[in-house]
Amino acid sequence: MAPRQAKPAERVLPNQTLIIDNGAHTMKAGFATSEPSLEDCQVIPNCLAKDRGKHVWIGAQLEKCNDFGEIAFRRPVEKGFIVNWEAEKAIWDNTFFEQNAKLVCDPQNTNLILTEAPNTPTPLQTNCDQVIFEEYEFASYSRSLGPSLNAYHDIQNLFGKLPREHHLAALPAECLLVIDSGYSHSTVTPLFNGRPIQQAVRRLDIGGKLLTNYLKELISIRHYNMSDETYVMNEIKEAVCYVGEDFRRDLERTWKGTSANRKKPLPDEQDIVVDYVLPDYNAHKHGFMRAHDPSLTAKMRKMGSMSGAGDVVEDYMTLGNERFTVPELLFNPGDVGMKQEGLPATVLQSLSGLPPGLWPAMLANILVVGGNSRIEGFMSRLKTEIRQLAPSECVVRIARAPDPIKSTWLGGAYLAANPVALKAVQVTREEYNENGSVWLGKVFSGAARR
Amino acid sequence: MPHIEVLANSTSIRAPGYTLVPDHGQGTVQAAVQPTAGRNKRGTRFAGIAGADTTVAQQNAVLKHLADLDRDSQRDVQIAVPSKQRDSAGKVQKKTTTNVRRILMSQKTFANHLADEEALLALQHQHPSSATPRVPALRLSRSTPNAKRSWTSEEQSTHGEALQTGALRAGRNVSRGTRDRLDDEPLLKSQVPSAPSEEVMEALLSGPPLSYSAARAAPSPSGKPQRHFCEICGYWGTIKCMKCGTRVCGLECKGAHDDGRCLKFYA
Repeated sequence: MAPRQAKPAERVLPNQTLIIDNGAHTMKAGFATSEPSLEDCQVIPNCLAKDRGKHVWIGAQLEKCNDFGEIAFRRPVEKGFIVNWEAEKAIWDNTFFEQNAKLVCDPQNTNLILTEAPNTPTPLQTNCDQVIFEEYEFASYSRSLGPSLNAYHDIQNLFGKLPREHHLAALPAECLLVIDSGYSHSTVTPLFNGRPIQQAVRRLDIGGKLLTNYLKELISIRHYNMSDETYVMNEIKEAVCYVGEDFRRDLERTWKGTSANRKKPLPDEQDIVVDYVLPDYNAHKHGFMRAHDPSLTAKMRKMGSMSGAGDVVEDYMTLGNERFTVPELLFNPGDVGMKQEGLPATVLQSLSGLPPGLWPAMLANILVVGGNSRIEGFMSRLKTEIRQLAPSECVVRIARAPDPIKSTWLGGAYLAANPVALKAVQVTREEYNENGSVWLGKVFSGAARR
Repeated sequence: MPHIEVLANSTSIRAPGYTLVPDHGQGTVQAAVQPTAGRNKRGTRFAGIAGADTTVAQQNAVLKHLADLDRDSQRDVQIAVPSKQRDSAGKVQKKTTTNVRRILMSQKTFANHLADEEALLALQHQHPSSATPRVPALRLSRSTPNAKRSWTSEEQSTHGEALQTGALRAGRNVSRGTRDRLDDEPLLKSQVPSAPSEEVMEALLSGPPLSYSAARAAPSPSGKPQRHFCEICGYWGTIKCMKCGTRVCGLECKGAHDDGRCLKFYA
């Protein structure tokens, strides 16, 4: 290791540390404590939203919104990168810097740990650094790859080993492969001692947004036109979608049969076909899923024929193969014509950029984070397919973080709980003022040492 | 017969003030944008491999579909930051620096930034002398992941005590001193190669990040045929509409397609 040029005694960090995992869909933010817990983390919508009444909601204000019909979003984060700082500043101001904000803090007395998505274009990184130090004037700041913060978790405990001893707490896991399947895309990042191996980072351009839009498209063809109802579609996706073990079998089971020979529903078909009752914003009712009831369909048709009779009928739609063809895209992007391999093969593509000696350790320590990992059946399918592709000599162990959405934030909180480790990564505002943003970019990319 | 396909990569992105068109070599962009008239005739359109979407027009349709799926909202909505919020940012208004003002005013989208990056990379490609090296010091063989059993017997024989090296410890968790006596059995001996040395790891870790496009997962090398689904009901799309090429599963769904969704009235 090169000797450090800066004298460590000079750099005194304030006690308060703010960790922001700034995702495209939600921002995970909170202050670090000595005993990190998920309760300290707030999940805040990272968007400006305009509802039917032209009212604009900013970030956390959306909690108070009751009517999500035709709501439109403006997201400052595109593809995981903060692109539009005008909107992002409005959300951050609302969350951190206004008088009765949720996580109010004084940036001049706060350390900031901010995450970024892998492979960020350099101009966007520079923009980010400049806003943090020149506009907000945080006392110190580090910009790290989101997946890499997950290395500070107790990984072995997730695989059923005993919890780590206390003195080991802040050491990052030696080898870890993080699969982060989020809103804009799914990335595979190999980590060695908590540092990303940049050359082996791979990305599959399918994330929750694309899945929601695909479901929206299918339903708009088959049921109602939902093209303005992204919010509702996302709720439907989260409620009904699942990843099947056997795609072909499921597709056959949901086939309606030919018109001449209408197939009678098989008993096991009932597991797949469901009804989703759409939300009713006038009555403040949420949407929900329930078992399919064929007799209800007939009844509805009858009521439709004598229109306007009786009281308000709930609106629902019957979902069959949409339930599993949508998340299937994560495993077969070719189904919508995307020329990429599925997520399991992407993992293997990432490994091919590493020396084979690292493969066993990486394959035995796979951590999955991000919202898509909560889709039912996702984990077992991923494990099965990686097992099939990986060399047979290697053990494949794959675990989902206990809370896949807040996991990256929690990793950052573990890092912040250790003052020594924190000091090693943070850059203070004085250092920035002295050395400038080009130097800062080099420090964060590992090209320059302090 | 080799299967040649034209990848449609006509990304011209409009930014306020200028337009960026990444141009890779001669004429490829133009060919992608304007398919010759003959190619659009039905006879040639379906002349390719059965079941493959071969024409440029169809590939462009797929790209457009993917771009649609990637949108945040279907309509083009303009949501301005509320002015009340903009004025009272909680604290006393201080002077913003030139940099910050420029960043806040910027209306560039990610597509603009991506085009910038690609243009920069293309420039570096043309003038490698002025470019900063983006290739890492260590070139790793990018063998296909499916070549799984490529480890030589030499590597296996040197394996021996290497099990104890650091990187493997994380995977096998032998550091806790619970080494099983069965580990020494020759039949049960693991076949894994040894962990890389520290210099190799340092070279790997200090490599610069890939560009956004380079990090994208590659298509399948085996060329698995694309699966097609019925547009109406989602079952296997075994037949193609003669007019527009959309897939449907049978006559019943073909009727529904013709009624409302077939985009071409005249073939």
